[in-house]
Amino acid sequence: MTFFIRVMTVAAVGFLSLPVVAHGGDDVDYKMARDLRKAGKIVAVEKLLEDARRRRVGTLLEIELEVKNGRYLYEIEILGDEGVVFEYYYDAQTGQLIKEGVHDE
Amino acid sequence: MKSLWGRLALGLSASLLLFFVIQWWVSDRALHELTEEFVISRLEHDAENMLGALRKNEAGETELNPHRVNGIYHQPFSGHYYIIRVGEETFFSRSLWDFELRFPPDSAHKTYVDGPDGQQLLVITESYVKLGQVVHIAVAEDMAPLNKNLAEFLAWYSGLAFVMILAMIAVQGLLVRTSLRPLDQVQAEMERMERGEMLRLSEHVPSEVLPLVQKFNSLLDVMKGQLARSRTAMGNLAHALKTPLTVLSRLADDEALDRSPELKQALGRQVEAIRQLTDRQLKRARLAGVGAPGGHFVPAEEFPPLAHTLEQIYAEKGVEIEMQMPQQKVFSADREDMMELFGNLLDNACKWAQHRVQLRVEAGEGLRVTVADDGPGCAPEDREKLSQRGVRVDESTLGHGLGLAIVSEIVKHYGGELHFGESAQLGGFEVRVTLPLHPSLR
Repeated sequence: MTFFIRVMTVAAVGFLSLPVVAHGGDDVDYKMARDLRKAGKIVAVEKLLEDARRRRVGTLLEIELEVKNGRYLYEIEILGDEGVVFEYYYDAQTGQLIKEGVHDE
Repeated sequence: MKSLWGRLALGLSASLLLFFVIQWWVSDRALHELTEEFVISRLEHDAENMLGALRKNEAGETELNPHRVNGIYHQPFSGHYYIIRVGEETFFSRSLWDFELRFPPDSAHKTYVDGPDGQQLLVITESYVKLGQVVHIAVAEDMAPLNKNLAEFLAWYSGLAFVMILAMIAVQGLLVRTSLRPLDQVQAEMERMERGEMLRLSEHVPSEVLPLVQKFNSLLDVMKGQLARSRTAMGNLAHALKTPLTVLSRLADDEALDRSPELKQALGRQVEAIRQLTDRQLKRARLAGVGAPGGHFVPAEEFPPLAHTLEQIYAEKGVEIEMQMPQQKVFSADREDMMELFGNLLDNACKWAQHRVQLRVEAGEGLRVTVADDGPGCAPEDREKLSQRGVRVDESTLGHGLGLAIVSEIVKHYGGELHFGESAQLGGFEVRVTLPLHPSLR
């Protein structure tokens, strides 16, 4: 997953067009997601979750919003009933599935 | 109305069904309320915990100490959410992600709203004052998994209740059948009475059935008494008629009637007919004691005393009656009828015998009795006339030829056969009676 750049925005920075390379900051990423969604720039994660659930029956483990080449990507991790974690990457703007698979870094 | 079991089963299943429905409803309510109260109290604790996690940072901004907040509020769509409003600022739990959960109106302490991912959220709101500011905290938990568990439990319970109702109905059916078994016994005893094997119903029955059995037995006694009385009355009447009949028959022979021989003859015939009838009644009364209705006849018990009596009557002649019969065989036939039938046959045999009379009883296909004597016998051409009423083949011996007519009538009544012949062993007359009666062991 080296080609993905984790982003983190500081809450105070309401300015989202400047992605900042940073370590994973779970306490702020969702705030960015809220704001982007309110602004209509990305789709609701529920829609993506519905799609992922259709592909894999299991428990939602984690959601991450990432920026790569100026595009927003959603990573949804689902713990399948068989005990394997599956990852689904969606284009956050269009809701299209980009990649799916087990964590194979 | 047709079956006790059906009525009981209907009543039982209706009341059980009502009971289980009420119980189901009560437990459903109780479980839901208990669960809700439990969740509410946990949410209240969480709300207080959030309040404690609120602090001011170095910059003077209000923030939530992340170390004090449970991780479940960080996992997206975990089912546990909070919204905290402090002044102008609003904190959403990370678990909400981008879902827009509305902060409930301040007045509502407890509300249900739809959450993300099809969740049903129970939301409670609390208001506090901290750091000089009013703090509103809403904490929510997804009730869907708990409700699903409850629904599963209640479905399981309903299934169990249904099985239990079925089992109870089955057990009850078994009980009804068991408790009604004495009635089957009574029925079987009635059948045995019909065959003459019993005189009364056994009173070893449950107390609920006992009155019925007792009533039946007393009714039986009444009927037996009535029968005996009517027989006695018949006998008495026949006896009382004897003298007037003798007078009447003498009058019919009166010379004064010689002028109209036809009248004399007709009169004689009618008087004779009446005498035959009264004789028959008298014989009945004499030969038979009091018999049970639908009674039974035991040859081994009845024949020896009868033979003994006849031997005494014909003691002068020295008649000996030899008997062959199976022991302990019981036939369902009226004892009186049988006594009259065989009494007549034996009486006849004794009358004609020189010294020996043979009585043979066989129980095979019905009851077969052979009575033979060592008397002069009877010519084949006369045998047919024998059973005709009042015809005497022998004109010289005492009697009026009624005996065999009665015999023939009784045999006919029982659907049996009467056969006259010659005794191979004794050389005299032989009568064979076959009655379609089924023997049974006592």
